[in-house]
Amino acid sequence: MSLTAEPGRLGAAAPAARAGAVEKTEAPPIELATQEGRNKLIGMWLFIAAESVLFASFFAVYLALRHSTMGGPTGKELFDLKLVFLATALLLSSSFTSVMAVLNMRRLQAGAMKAWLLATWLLGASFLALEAYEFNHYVHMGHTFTSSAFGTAFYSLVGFHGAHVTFGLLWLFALLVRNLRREVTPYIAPKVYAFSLYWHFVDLVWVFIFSVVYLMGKVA
Amino acid sequence: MAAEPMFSPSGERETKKERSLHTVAFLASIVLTILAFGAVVYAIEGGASAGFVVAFLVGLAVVQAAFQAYIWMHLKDEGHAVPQLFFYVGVYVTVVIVIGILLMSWWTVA
Repeated sequence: MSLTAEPGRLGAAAPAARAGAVEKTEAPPIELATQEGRNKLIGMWLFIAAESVLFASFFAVYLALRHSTMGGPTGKELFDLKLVFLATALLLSSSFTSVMAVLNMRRLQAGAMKAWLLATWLLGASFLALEAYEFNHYVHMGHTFTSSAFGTAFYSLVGFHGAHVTFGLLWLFALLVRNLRREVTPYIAPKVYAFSLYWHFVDLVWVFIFSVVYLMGKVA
Repeated sequence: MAAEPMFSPSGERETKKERSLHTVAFLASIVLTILAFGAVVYAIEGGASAGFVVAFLVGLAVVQAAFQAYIWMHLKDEGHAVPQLFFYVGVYVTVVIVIGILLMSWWTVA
Protein backbone atom coordinates (compact mmCIF):
# COMPACT_ATOMS: atom_id res chain seq x y z
CA MET A 1 0.00 0.00 0.00
CA SER A 2 2.99 2.30 0.28
CA LEU A 3 3.52 5.03 -2.22
CA THR A 4 7.26 4.68 -2.33
CA ALA A 5 7.77 2.45 -5.29
CA GLU A 6 10.25 -0.30 -5.99
CA PRO A 7 12.60 0.89 -8.73
CA GLY A 8 12.01 -0.73 -12.08
CA ARG A 9 8.37 -1.60 -11.46
CA LEU A 10 6.90 1.85 -11.07
CA GLY A 11 9.71 3.91 -12.51
CA ALA A 12 10.47 4.60 -16.13
CA ALA A 13 9.50 1.05 -17.12
CA ALA A 14 5.92 1.51 -16.04
CA PRO A 15 4.55 3.52 -19.00
CA ALA A 16 6.18 1.27 -21.55
CA ALA A 17 4.63 -1.77 -19.87
CA ARG A 18 1.21 -0.55 -20.92
CA ALA A 19 0.06 -2.09 -24.16
CA GLY A 20 0.20 0.25 -27.11
CA ALA A 21 2.24 2.86 -25.26
CA VAL A 22 5.63 1.61 -26.40
CA GLU A 23 6.43 4.55 -28.64
CA LYS A 24 5.22 7.20 -26.24
CA THR A 25 7.68 8.56 -23.74
CA GLU A 26 4.99 10.46 -21.83
CA ALA A 27 4.03 9.21 -18.37
CA PRO A 28 0.56 7.67 -17.92
CA PRO A 29 -2.39 9.49 -16.28
CA ILE A 30 -2.32 9.52 -12.50
CA GLU A 31 -4.69 6.57 -11.93
CA LEU A 32 -2.26 4.27 -13.81
CA ALA A 33 0.89 5.52 -12.07
CA THR A 34 1.24 2.63 -9.61
CA GLN A 35 1.15 -1.13 -10.12
CA GLU A 36 -1.59 -1.28 -7.49
CA GLY A 37 -3.67 1.22 -9.44
CA ARG A 38 -3.25 -0.64 -12.71
CA ASN A 39 -4.18 -3.96 -11.09
CA LYS A 40 -7.20 -2.40 -9.41
CA LEU A 41 -8.57 -1.06 -12.68
CA ILE A 42 -7.97 -4.30 -14.60
CA GLY A 43 -9.88 -6.03 -11.78
CA MET A 44 -12.66 -3.48 -12.15
CA TRP A 45 -12.98 -4.23 -15.88
CA LEU A 46 -13.13 -7.98 -15.18
CA PHE A 47 -15.86 -7.29 -12.62
CA ILE A 48 -17.79 -5.22 -15.18
CA ALA A 49 -17.57 -8.03 -17.75
CA ALA A 50 -18.96 -10.47 -15.16
CA GLU A 51 -21.70 -8.01 -14.18
CA SER A 52 -22.82 -7.62 -17.76
CA VAL A 53 -23.42 -11.39 -17.93
CA LEU A 54 -25.49 -11.18 -14.75
CA PHE A 55 -27.60 -8.32 -16.13
CA ALA A 56 -27.94 -10.15 -19.46
CA SER A 57 -29.63 -13.03 -17.67
CA PHE A 58 -32.10 -10.69 -15.97
CA PHE A 59 -32.82 -8.94 -19.29
CA ALA A 60 -33.38 -12.24 -21.09
CA VAL A 61 -35.74 -13.50 -18.37
CA TYR A 62 -37.64 -10.21 -18.43
CA LEU A 63 -38.05 -10.33 -22.21
CA ALA A 64 -39.28 -13.92 -21.99
CA LEU A 65 -41.80 -13.30 -19.18
CA ARG A 66 -43.01 -9.73 -19.74
CA HIS A 67 -46.40 -10.79 -21.12
CA SER A 68 -47.12 -13.27 -18.28
CA THR A 69 -49.10 -10.81 -16.18
CA MET A 70 -51.68 -13.26 -14.70
CA GLY A 71 -54.48 -10.75 -15.34
CA GLY A 72 -52.64 -8.01 -13.42
CA PRO A 73 -51.66 -4.63 -14.86
CA THR A 74 -49.43 -4.72 -17.95
CA GLY A 75 -46.36 -2.61 -18.54
CA LYS A 76 -48.35 -0.46 -20.96
CA GLU A 77 -50.82 0.43 -18.21
CA LEU A 78 -48.18 0.90 -15.50
CA PHE A 79 -45.30 2.87 -16.99
CA ASP A 80 -45.29 6.66 -16.85
CA LEU A 81 -42.98 7.98 -19.57
CA LYS A 82 -42.54 11.43 -18.00
CA LEU A 83 -41.22 9.91 -14.77
CA VAL A 84 -38.89 7.56 -16.65
CA PHE A 85 -37.58 10.41 -18.80
CA LEU A 86 -36.79 12.46 -15.70
CA ALA A 87 -35.01 9.48 -14.09
CA THR A 88 -33.00 8.93 -17.29
CA ALA A 89 -31.97 12.59 -17.47
CA LEU A 90 -30.84 12.48 -13.81
CA LEU A 91 -28.74 9.37 -14.28
CA LEU A 92 -27.22 10.60 -17.57
CA SER A 93 -26.28 13.88 -15.89
CA SER A 94 -24.68 12.01 -13.00
CA SER A 95 -22.59 10.07 -15.51
CA PHE A 96 -21.46 13.40 -16.98
CA THR A 97 -20.60 14.86 -13.55
CA SER A 98 -18.56 11.79 -12.62
CA VAL A 99 -16.53 12.05 -15.85
CA MET A 100 -15.92 15.73 -15.03
CA ALA A 101 -14.66 14.59 -11.60
CA VAL A 102 -12.13 12.30 -13.31
CA LEU A 103 -11.11 15.15 -15.64
CA ASN A 104 -10.34 17.36 -12.63
CA MET A 105 -8.64 14.50 -10.82
CA ARG A 106 -6.21 14.19 -13.75
CA ARG A 107 -5.45 17.91 -13.40
CA LEU A 108 -4.82 17.32 -9.65
CA GLN A 109 -7.66 19.70 -8.74
CA ALA A 110 -8.89 18.02 -5.55
CA GLY A 111 -11.53 20.65 -4.75
CA ALA A 112 -13.18 20.57 -8.18
CA MET A 113 -13.03 16.76 -8.20
CA LYS A 114 -14.88 16.55 -4.89
CA ALA A 115 -17.46 19.11 -5.98
CA TRP A 116 -18.26 17.10 -9.13
CA LEU A 117 -18.40 13.89 -7.07
CA LEU A 118 -20.84 15.53 -4.67
CA ALA A 119 -23.01 16.56 -7.66
CA THR A 120 -22.86 12.93 -8.84
CA TRP A 121 -24.04 11.75 -5.44
CA LEU A 122 -26.95 14.17 -5.34
CA LEU A 123 -28.10 13.25 -8.86
CA GLY A 124 -27.84 9.54 -8.06
CA ALA A 125 -29.80 9.99 -4.85
CA SER A 126 -32.54 11.87 -6.75
CA PHE A 127 -32.71 9.01 -9.23
CA LEU A 128 -33.09 6.52 -6.39
CA ALA A 129 -35.84 8.59 -4.75
CA LEU A 130 -37.77 8.64 -8.04
CA GLU A 131 -37.40 4.88 -8.36
CA ALA A 132 -38.62 4.30 -4.78
CA TYR A 133 -41.65 6.49 -5.52
CA GLU A 134 -42.28 4.57 -8.76
CA PHE A 135 -42.11 1.12 -7.12
CA ASN A 136 -44.40 2.26 -4.32
CA HIS A 137 -46.88 3.52 -6.91
CA TYR A 138 -46.80 0.18 -8.79
CA VAL A 139 -47.37 -1.84 -5.61
CA HIS A 140 -50.51 0.21 -4.98
CA MET A 141 -51.64 -0.62 -8.52
CA GLY A 142 -51.35 -4.34 -7.74
CA HIS A 143 -48.00 -4.93 -9.44
CA THR A 144 -45.78 -6.66 -6.86
CA PHE A 145 -42.83 -9.02 -6.82
CA THR A 146 -45.12 -12.04 -6.29
CA SER A 147 -48.18 -10.94 -8.29
CA SER A 148 -47.01 -12.49 -11.58
CA ALA A 149 -44.00 -13.76 -13.52
CA PHE A 150 -43.91 -10.31 -15.14
CA GLY A 151 -43.74 -8.73 -11.67
CA THR A 152 -40.92 -10.98 -10.53
CA ALA A 153 -38.91 -10.42 -13.71
CA PHE A 154 -39.52 -6.64 -13.62
CA TYR A 155 -38.52 -6.13 -9.99
CA SER A 156 -35.55 -8.49 -10.34
CA LEU A 157 -34.13 -6.53 -13.28
CA VAL A 158 -35.01 -2.94 -12.36
CA GLY A 159 -34.59 -3.56 -8.62
CA PHE A 160 -31.20 -5.15 -9.14
CA HIS A 161 -30.14 -2.04 -11.05
CA GLY A 162 -31.54 0.12 -8.23
CA ALA A 163 -29.50 -1.95 -5.76
CA HIS A 164 -26.43 -1.14 -7.85
CA VAL A 165 -27.22 2.57 -7.66
CA THR A 166 -27.68 2.25 -3.88
CA PHE A 167 -24.35 0.47 -3.51
CA GLY A 168 -22.70 3.10 -5.73
CA LEU A 169 -24.05 5.90 -3.51
CA LEU A 170 -22.71 4.20 -0.36
CA TRP A 171 -19.37 3.69 -2.10
CA LEU A 172 -19.18 7.31 -3.23
CA PHE A 173 -20.18 8.53 0.23
CA ALA A 174 -17.35 6.53 1.81
CA LEU A 175 -14.94 7.78 -0.86
CA LEU A 176 -15.88 11.43 -0.26
CA VAL A 177 -15.76 11.24 3.53
CA ARG A 178 -12.47 9.32 3.62
CA ASN A 179 -10.72 11.69 1.21
CA LEU A 180 -12.33 14.93 2.30
CA ARG A 181 -9.06 16.50 3.44
CA ARG A 182 -6.75 14.70 1.04
CA GLU A 183 -5.08 16.00 -2.09
CA VAL A 184 -5.08 14.03 -5.36
CA THR A 185 -2.33 11.39 -5.13
CA PRO A 186 -1.53 8.19 -7.07
CA TYR A 187 -3.01 6.41 -4.03
CA ILE A 188 -6.41 8.15 -4.25
CA ALA A 189 -6.72 8.36 -8.03
CA PRO A 190 -7.41 4.67 -8.85
CA LYS A 191 -10.13 4.62 -6.17
CA VAL A 192 -11.95 7.55 -7.77
CA TYR A 193 -11.40 6.15 -11.26
CA ALA A 194 -12.71 2.69 -10.24
CA PHE A 195 -15.86 4.32 -8.89
CA SER A 196 -16.36 6.30 -12.09
CA LEU A 197 -16.04 3.11 -14.19
CA TYR A 198 -18.67 1.43 -12.00
CA TRP A 199 -20.97 4.43 -12.20
CA HIS A 200 -20.78 4.65 -16.01
CA PHE A 201 -21.51 0.94 -16.21
CA VAL A 202 -24.61 1.34 -14.03
CA ASP A 203 -25.72 4.14 -16.39
CA LEU A 204 -24.99 1.95 -19.42
CA VAL A 205 -27.30 -0.72 -17.98
CA TRP A 206 -29.98 1.91 -17.37
CA VAL A 207 -29.83 2.93 -21.06
CA PHE A 208 -30.96 -0.60 -21.91
CA ILE A 209 -33.53 -0.68 -19.10
CA PHE A 210 -35.30 2.48 -20.26
CA SER A 211 -35.18 1.33 -23.89
CA VAL A 212 -36.10 -2.33 -23.43
CA VAL A 213 -38.32 -2.30 -20.34
CA TYR A 214 -40.09 1.06 -20.40
CA LEU A 215 -40.13 2.25 -24.01
CA MET A 216 -40.65 -1.17 -25.63
CA GLY A 217 -43.21 -1.94 -22.93
CA LYS A 218 -45.20 1.07 -24.13
CA VAL A 219 -44.97 0.07 -27.79
CA ALA A 220 -45.35 -3.70 -27.94
CA MET B 1 17.22 8.75 -6.25
CA ALA B 2 13.85 7.71 -4.88
CA ALA B 3 11.61 6.14 -7.50
CA GLU B 4 8.43 8.16 -7.21
CA PRO B 5 5.39 6.86 -9.11
CA MET B 6 5.44 8.48 -12.55
CA PHE B 7 2.44 10.21 -14.00
CA SER B 8 1.76 13.35 -15.98
CA PRO B 9 -1.12 15.63 -14.93
CA SER B 10 -3.28 16.74 -17.86
CA GLY B 11 -2.31 20.11 -19.22
CA GLU B 12 -4.65 22.97 -20.11
CA ARG B 13 -4.96 22.00 -23.78
CA GLU B 14 -5.68 18.35 -23.04
CA THR B 15 -8.24 19.28 -20.41
CA LYS B 16 -10.01 21.67 -22.76
CA LYS B 17 -10.19 19.01 -25.48
CA GLU B 18 -11.50 16.35 -23.08
CA ARG B 19 -14.02 18.72 -21.56
CA SER B 20 -15.54 19.66 -24.90
CA LEU B 21 -15.62 15.99 -25.94
CA HIS B 22 -17.49 15.04 -22.75
CA THR B 23 -19.88 17.95 -23.12
CA VAL B 24 -20.67 17.00 -26.72
CA ALA B 25 -21.17 13.34 -25.70
CA PHE B 26 -23.49 14.42 -22.89
CA LEU B 27 -25.60 16.64 -25.14
CA ALA B 28 -25.69 13.93 -27.81
CA SER B 29 -26.92 11.33 -25.34
CA ILE B 30 -29.65 13.71 -24.12
CA VAL B 31 -30.71 14.24 -27.76
CA LEU B 32 -30.73 10.48 -28.38
CA THR B 33 -32.87 9.99 -25.26
CA ILE B 34 -35.36 12.58 -26.46
CA LEU B 35 -35.44 10.88 -29.90
CA ALA B 36 -36.16 7.51 -28.24
CA PHE B 37 -38.99 8.84 -26.10
CA GLY B 38 -40.32 10.86 -29.04
CA ALA B 39 -40.42 7.78 -31.26
CA VAL B 40 -42.47 5.92 -28.66
CA VAL B 41 -44.95 8.77 -28.20
CA TYR B 42 -45.26 8.92 -32.01
CA ALA B 43 -45.85 5.15 -32.16
CA ILE B 44 -48.52 5.28 -29.44
CA GLU B 45 -50.36 7.92 -31.46
CA GLY B 46 -50.32 5.48 -34.36
CA GLY B 47 -47.77 7.17 -36.59
CA ALA B 48 -45.24 4.33 -36.80
CA SER B 49 -45.25 0.53 -36.70
CA ALA B 50 -44.18 -1.16 -33.44
CA GLY B 51 -41.53 -3.29 -35.18
CA PHE B 52 -39.83 -0.26 -36.68
CA VAL B 53 -39.84 1.64 -33.38
CA VAL B 54 -38.38 -1.36 -31.49
CA ALA B 55 -35.52 -1.64 -34.00
CA PHE B 56 -34.99 2.15 -33.77
CA LEU B 57 -34.87 1.96 -29.94
CA VAL B 58 -32.32 -0.87 -29.94
CA GLY B 59 -30.16 1.10 -32.39
CA LEU B 60 -30.26 4.25 -30.23
CA ALA B 61 -29.50 2.24 -27.08
CA VAL B 62 -26.41 0.70 -28.69
CA VAL B 63 -25.14 4.15 -29.75
CA GLN B 64 -25.69 5.52 -26.22
CA ALA B 65 -23.97 2.53 -24.66
CA ALA B 66 -21.01 3.12 -26.99
CA PHE B 67 -20.81 6.76 -25.80
CA GLN B 68 -20.64 5.56 -22.19
CA ALA B 69 -18.07 2.85 -22.85
CA TYR B 70 -15.73 4.48 -25.36
CA ILE B 71 -15.80 8.10 -24.25
CA TRP B 72 -16.77 8.15 -20.58
CA MET B 73 -15.14 4.88 -19.53
CA HIS B 74 -12.15 5.88 -21.73
CA LEU B 75 -12.25 2.56 -23.59
CA LYS B 76 -11.07 4.35 -26.78
CA ASP B 77 -7.90 5.58 -25.05
CA GLU B 78 -4.56 3.87 -25.54
CA GLY B 79 -3.45 1.21 -23.08
CA HIS B 80 -6.97 -0.24 -22.90
CA ALA B 81 -6.35 -3.51 -24.78
CA VAL B 82 -7.17 -5.77 -21.81
CA PRO B 83 -10.26 -3.77 -20.72
CA GLN B 84 -11.45 -3.90 -24.35
CA LEU B 85 -11.00 -7.68 -24.36
CA PHE B 86 -13.03 -8.03 -21.13
CA PHE B 87 -15.66 -5.67 -22.45
CA TYR B 88 -16.08 -7.45 -25.78
CA VAL B 89 -16.29 -10.87 -24.10
CA GLY B 90 -18.94 -9.42 -21.77
CA VAL B 91 -20.92 -8.03 -24.71
CA TYR B 92 -20.60 -11.31 -26.64
CA VAL B 93 -21.87 -13.47 -23.76
CA THR B 94 -24.66 -10.93 -23.12
CA VAL B 95 -25.90 -11.16 -26.69
CA VAL B 96 -25.72 -14.99 -26.65
CA ILE B 97 -27.71 -15.18 -23.38
CA VAL B 98 -30.44 -12.78 -24.49
CA ILE B 99 -30.91 -14.33 -27.94
CA GLY B 100 -30.63 -17.87 -26.54
CA ILE B 101 -33.29 -17.44 -23.85
CA LEU B 102 -35.57 -15.55 -26.26
CA LEU B 103 -35.37 -18.36 -28.81
CA MET B 104 -36.14 -20.93 -26.11
CA SER B 105 -39.15 -18.99 -24.86
CA TRP B 106 -40.55 -18.37 -28.36
CA TRP B 107 -40.44 -22.06 -29.21
CA THR B 108 -41.85 -23.38 -25.95
CA VAL B 109 -44.38 -20.78 -24.78
CA ALA B 110 -46.01 -20.05 -28.13
